[in-house]
Amino acid sequence: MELDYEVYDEHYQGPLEGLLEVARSHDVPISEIKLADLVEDFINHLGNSSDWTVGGASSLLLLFSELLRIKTRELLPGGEEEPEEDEKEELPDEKRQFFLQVGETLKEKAKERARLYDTRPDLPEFVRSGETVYKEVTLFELVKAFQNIVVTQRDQRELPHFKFSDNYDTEEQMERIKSSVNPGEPVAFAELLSSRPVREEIVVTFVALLQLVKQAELRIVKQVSTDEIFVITPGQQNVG
Amino acid sequence: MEIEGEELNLKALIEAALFVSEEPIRAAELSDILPVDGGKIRQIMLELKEEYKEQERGMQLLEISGGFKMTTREEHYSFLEKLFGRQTRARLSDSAIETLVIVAYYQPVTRAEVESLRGVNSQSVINTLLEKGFIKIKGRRDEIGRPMEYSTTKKFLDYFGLGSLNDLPDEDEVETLRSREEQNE
Repeated sequence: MELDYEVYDEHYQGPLEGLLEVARSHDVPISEIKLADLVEDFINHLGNSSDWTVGGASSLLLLFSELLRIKTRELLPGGEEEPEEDEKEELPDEKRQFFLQVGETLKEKAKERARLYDTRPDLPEFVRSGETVYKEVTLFELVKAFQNIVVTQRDQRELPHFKFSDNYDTEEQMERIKSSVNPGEPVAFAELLSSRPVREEIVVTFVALLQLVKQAELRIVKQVSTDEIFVITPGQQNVG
Repeated sequence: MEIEGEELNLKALIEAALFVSEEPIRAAELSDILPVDGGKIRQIMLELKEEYKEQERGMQLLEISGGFKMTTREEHYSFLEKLFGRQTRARLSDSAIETLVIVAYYQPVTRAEVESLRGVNSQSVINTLLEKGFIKIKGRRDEIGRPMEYSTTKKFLDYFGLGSLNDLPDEDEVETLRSREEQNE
């Protein structure tokens, strides 16, 4: 990509890419060049021109960060040696042996424990007096439910590409979800998502829902008797 | 003799709760709904445990993670096995056990720390352990990237029949190993 951006410094004038070349080959004293000033000029330049692409700007960011890396290395005492990258810390034999030993001991203990029967291995879920009871849903159950919806949707409509556009706004979806889930009226997770006609809208809706859960405005639970996943308000009673 | 009567009653109540519960029950959980403090309840639980043992009852109380749980006794295993078959239990691979051991000793621990100790990518084994309920996400560490921290669960202790983390081989042994390594360097 043609970057077409020139920098001016007392040690170097020319295209920014050229600076990287000469910094690498030590033709200019990179430690003397004030990168902060260069970045500032660059940001000003960016603000003044309209024909910048995200690709071009990110290439320059990469370039600056590489310059920064070279400069940092030179400023560090001990010179410019590349740090050894394969200094992977192997689990020392003795420690590893110890962990293996503990593992073996635990396996034995698990075998012994398996010989003691628990009172009620298939304990039923408890429901008080005919109420519908909800239970915390696990992350795995939620992700699985989400995947199911996305797969079903794919079967229905063949979308050529999964393109993320700005058509769907997370904020908007958050508002929509909030208005459709009222206290005392749980909404089925599947219904909330699969009512959306386009796959990317489903994804945005899911993200919006997660955001609402994070903000503690809604909760995602499953109904104990059916395992169906519901979205409820935090104040909802009968959540086990 | 009213106190005596009340005590008997409590013991039966606690026994009933232990019978129904799938998870180990801690004294503190019962003290919320009973008019006695946790210390007293724990004492009753210990008495119950002793009684079961002395009277050679068909059940025993196992202490797990600071609570108690009802199980059958070791000597009845072969009989019960003939009757019911074996209990189905989660299977753990060697790498899952190795990872569990590391989490148990170093908790709360991040994935990067587990990986640096094991020397291999551990994402999928961590996911499996999370899914099976042997470890849980304890929180996030206050450092760059806010990585998740993992710790072991009650289920971990129960699965291996450990009363508490203190029942793992002594951490001092690990310390001794560590310092010996340092001397060798």
